[in-house]
Amino acid sequence: MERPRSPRCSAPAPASVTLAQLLLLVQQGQELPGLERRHIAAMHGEPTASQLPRRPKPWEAAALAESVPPPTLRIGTAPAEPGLAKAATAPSSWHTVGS
Amino acid sequence: MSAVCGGAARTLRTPGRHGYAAEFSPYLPGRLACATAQHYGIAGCGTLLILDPDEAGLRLFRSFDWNDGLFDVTWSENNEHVLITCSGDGSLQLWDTAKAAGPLQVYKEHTQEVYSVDWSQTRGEQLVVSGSWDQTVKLWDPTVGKSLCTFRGHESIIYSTIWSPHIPGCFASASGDQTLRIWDVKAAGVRIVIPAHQAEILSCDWCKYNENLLVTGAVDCSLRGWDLRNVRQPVFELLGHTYAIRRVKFSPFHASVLASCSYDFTVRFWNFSKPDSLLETVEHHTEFTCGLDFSLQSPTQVADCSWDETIKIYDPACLTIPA
Repeated sequence: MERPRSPRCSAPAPASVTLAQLLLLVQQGQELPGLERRHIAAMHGEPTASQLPRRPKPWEAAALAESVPPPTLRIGTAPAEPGLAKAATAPSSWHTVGS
Repeated sequence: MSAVCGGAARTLRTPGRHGYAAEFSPYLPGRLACATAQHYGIAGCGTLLILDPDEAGLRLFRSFDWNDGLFDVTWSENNEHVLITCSGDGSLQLWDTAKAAGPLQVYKEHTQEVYSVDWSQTRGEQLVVSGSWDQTVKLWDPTVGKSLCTFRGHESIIYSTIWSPHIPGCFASASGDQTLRIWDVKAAGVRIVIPAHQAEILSCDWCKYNENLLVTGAVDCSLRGWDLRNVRQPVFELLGHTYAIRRVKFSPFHASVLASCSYDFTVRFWNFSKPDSLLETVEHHTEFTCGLDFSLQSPTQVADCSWDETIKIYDPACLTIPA
């Protein structure tokens, strides 16, 4: 990731060729500069346990007529979840056209 | 990676990595995930970048490499450490920001590039949808190794899959087949097919304050609004971009404000309820601009990423000055 970055107009560098230059190299079947090949595999671990409660989305907070306090006051101290929004289902008025 | 604070935008340079998607954390203010690919996603590997703001601008908190280009990213809605990416090799990857290495899990079922991934927004569900060049959408429970369901019907590349923020089990998809489709997980099938453009549709999103309203962005340079109660014609059309629109998102704070980014290098902000809908055109990138997100904590903050190897976080004037 810490490769030198060259100006676009200079000779080809290991990275940061322009899109046009890259497409030309692909069309010509040439080797692409700086191509990185990785062999990464899944570690099959468990995620770190969550410690933060879910924050209400801005539109959920608005629907509950709550004022949204400044975010800095809420780091790590997010309030408990408000009541669940009313269960919604896809309105029957939705219908497709042309099929 | 070097952080630069130039002008109003905080910038992180990502040498050798081209930005495809940017997503703010739903938990930590200012934390941003960016899915990137080497060589514009055409060849090589990919990197997931996790950024935090600091006094100097932006600080790289973590980076995770993957074997192929990463095209989209979504944060978990029930664990602040977890996110999922999707990549050019047809796989999804689950990452843990509390661990230095990863991924923890890889889900490989799609047979071609996976261009979109989204974690459900409604409470009581923890589901992920992915959309692929193989013309299928897959539904995942990240705690289960295999997909729960495959949705077929699109007749071309699927570029975008987004959950409804209001209706459980409902998501939208946008495709190169020029349709926007609305799907119901419970019915395991499509609800609505909307021939939304006469061009490839690269992006779609749901309004956060009207459960019937969506927007599409297409190769024809237009944004169109769709009311699902009557989809015979768009409820609005926004013109101004000069090349394909790569991504569009509704504001989490303003019912009629949205942002779009484009292959014309610009990010544009719109208010579709106003006669002069175009609020602002941001021209701070020098290549295709592919990733875009609104902050969930700050009503004025936006992030974007581009193929010019930069990620930017900024407060556009149109959002900071009351309309």
